[in-house]
Amino acid sequence: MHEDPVLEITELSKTYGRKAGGVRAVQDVSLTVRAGEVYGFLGANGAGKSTTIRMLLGLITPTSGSVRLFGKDLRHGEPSRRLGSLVDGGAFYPFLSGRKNLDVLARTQGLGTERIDPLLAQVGLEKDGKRKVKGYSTGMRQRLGVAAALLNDPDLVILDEPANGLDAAGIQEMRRLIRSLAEEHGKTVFLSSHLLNEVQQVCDRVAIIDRGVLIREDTVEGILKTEESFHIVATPLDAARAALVESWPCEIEGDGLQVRAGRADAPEILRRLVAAKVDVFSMAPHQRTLEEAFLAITGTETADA
Amino acid sequence: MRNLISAEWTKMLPHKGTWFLVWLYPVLFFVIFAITIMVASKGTKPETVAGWIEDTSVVWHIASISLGRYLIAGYFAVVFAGEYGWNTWKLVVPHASRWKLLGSKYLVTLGLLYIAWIATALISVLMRYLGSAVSGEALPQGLTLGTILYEHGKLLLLGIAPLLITAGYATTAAISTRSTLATVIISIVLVTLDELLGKIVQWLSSYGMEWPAIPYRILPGYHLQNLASWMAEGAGFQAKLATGTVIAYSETVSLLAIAGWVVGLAGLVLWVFRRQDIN
Repeated sequence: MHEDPVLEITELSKTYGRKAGGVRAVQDVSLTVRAGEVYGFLGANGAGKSTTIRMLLGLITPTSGSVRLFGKDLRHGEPSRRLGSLVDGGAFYPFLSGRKNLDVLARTQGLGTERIDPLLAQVGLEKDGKRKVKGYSTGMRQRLGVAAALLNDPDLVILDEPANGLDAAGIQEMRRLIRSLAEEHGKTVFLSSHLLNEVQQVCDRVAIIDRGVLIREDTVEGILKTEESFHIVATPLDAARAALVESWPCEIEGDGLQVRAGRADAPEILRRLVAAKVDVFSMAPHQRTLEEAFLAITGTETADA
Repeated sequence: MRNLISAEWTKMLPHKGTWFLVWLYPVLFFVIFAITIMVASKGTKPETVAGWIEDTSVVWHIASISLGRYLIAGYFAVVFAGEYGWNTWKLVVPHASRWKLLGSKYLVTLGLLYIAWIATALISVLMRYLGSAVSGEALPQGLTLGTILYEHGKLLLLGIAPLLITAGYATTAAISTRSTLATVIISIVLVTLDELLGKIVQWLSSYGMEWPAIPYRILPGYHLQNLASWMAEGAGFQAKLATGTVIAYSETVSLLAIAGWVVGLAGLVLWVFRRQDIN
């Protein structure tokens, strides 16, 4: 991975409708994606992920802000030949075969057709390439979408929900494909996904967007580290909570207390509990998953990210 | 641009809409002529040159009659609004300028129609010739390839203005509404208005109302009729109102008016599409 920014978004905003009664879908989002990294873009439904991605692709005009692609300002409506994208994976001409769809897309981009068959093989559609897309399953369309995104051998691949509609094996295959794009082919991948477990496994860095506002940008490790916690089984729980809550965020969960704190804080936590005359039965570090961290950061209750 | 035309061609050629709304013409005319040949009796009275050419050039009137214009509007609706229905603008828009995407679509759609119409005209001429041979009817005196080409060419030119206006109506509606059905309905209303507005204006003038003549002078309906009259009869079309007012314009004025409408509608389509958010 290099430090050169491939994609720089600065204070990007989108308001739908007139300014007074308009809906602010994205507000002042700034982020940087470096060459060779897999960058995850997380957010709940309606958080502004797709709107941001569509602005990067010139599908939606930003209300304000700027996008720099490979060091150059991206003017709205100006296509970039170094960019490949998958948006709404199933969006293909239903009356054409998968192969013919890629043919149309290759011609649109002024490309030859020599990459079509290897790409169909790469996404596992070599046998179905001649079938009409209207007969494809969601997963097959999604895989065709990935082939379409790679057709121009782009340096930056933007994937909007690439694992949508895939079964467990398909998701695993997609994960492998995304990692290989970065590690073996040196491509930069910018992906949005609601499958946080997948994001945790494939992404180097992530940004979390909530209600149109970017609230966190960090490495996956960085986010997980700040979301370390301990599960303490003790009694009485109210007294335990009272002893700790001033220094660390804590919540009573079932028969224990969930305390958000780092490993270095463990001795001090124990000392305070003992001083408060709380009986401690166990204290176990709990490594949160990205999903748990996401929920904690966005303050949402559901796992629908 | 050549790449985009090639992409558009690859995409549209196998589409059912193209098969139904474009290749319909050669197939339909072939069937009609075949039936005519089969039922034609021997020793039919010889045709005049004008009658023989008229028999073979019906296809060129499609762009000028209401039903033909409805079919043309339907075809443009499928091609332009279809991209919204299939959700495929987002597949191609990131890879090409929007004006080029629209331009290539216009060219391929018009190109396919003209290929089908030229094929239909060829079939008509060949089948009419075959019909004459089968029925034993002699070819009219003075009928030459040059005459056929000249008369067909004249009618082809006559159909360009209504075709472009109809295409303008349909594409504007398609880009604005993003719906094939809405595009078809709006286009039918506008084409019908082109045809009926003159009669409505004349009827209202019998009640002393002359103000409806203002939109009639501006909208394409009168100018299409005027151009057709100039080309077919060498004289302009005069709309005489009951109030005594005569609406009559020169060929140049009508040509400029139609050109203005075609360019205006194309510009509007491009303006709307360039500003449009594709969600």
